[in-house]
Amino acid sequence: MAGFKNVFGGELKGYSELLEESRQEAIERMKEQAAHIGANAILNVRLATSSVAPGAAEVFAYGTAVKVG
Amino acid sequence: MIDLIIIIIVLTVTYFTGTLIEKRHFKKIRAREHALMSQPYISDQARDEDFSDAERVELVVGSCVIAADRFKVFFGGLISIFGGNISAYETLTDRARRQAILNMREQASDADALVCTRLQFSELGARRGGQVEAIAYGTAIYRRK
Repeated sequence: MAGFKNVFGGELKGYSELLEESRQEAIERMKEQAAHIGANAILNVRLATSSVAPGAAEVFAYGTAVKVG
Repeated sequence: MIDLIIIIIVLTVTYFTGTLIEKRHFKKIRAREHALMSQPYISDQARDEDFSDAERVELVVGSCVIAADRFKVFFGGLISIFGGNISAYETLTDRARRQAILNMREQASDADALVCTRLQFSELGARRGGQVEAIAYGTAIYRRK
């Protein structure tokens, strides 16, 4: 399907979903890490994607873990 | 010779199909943008508002991956040699960004405000400029009623 779309163009829904899931995973990992160091909030979160190799992408989330209150 | 004919056919066909797909996509985007017009408050900052009555805050993310058709890739490559505006790519990135923003806004449709929004753009895929991804994200704020 992606190969087909690469010729004719259009939104790659499967790819969007795949990256969406990866992003959720990245956010979860970030939350776990924050919980591990005793934080109860994460501020200034940033998200980014980079293409590491043909057919593979990296999704990352980062932020500042803080303890509020 | 046959190779050349095939390339010309592919470029001609993808020019027309690509234009059609793009037109339809823009129509859908405009309709969704119109539907979300009354959404209260969106900002890339959070300085001037008072959010002390916030009940819940939430990270909302919207994304969109779009593939360029063969004609766009060919046309873009051609212009890259001589330099200049690649208008075929401008519409592609515009579609990706606007849809990512819409996906984000729809997730925050019940929120009272959407602040600190960010836009991120990246290239995916093996071929240069073949696939583009836009991510829009921000903080949805729900006030105490």
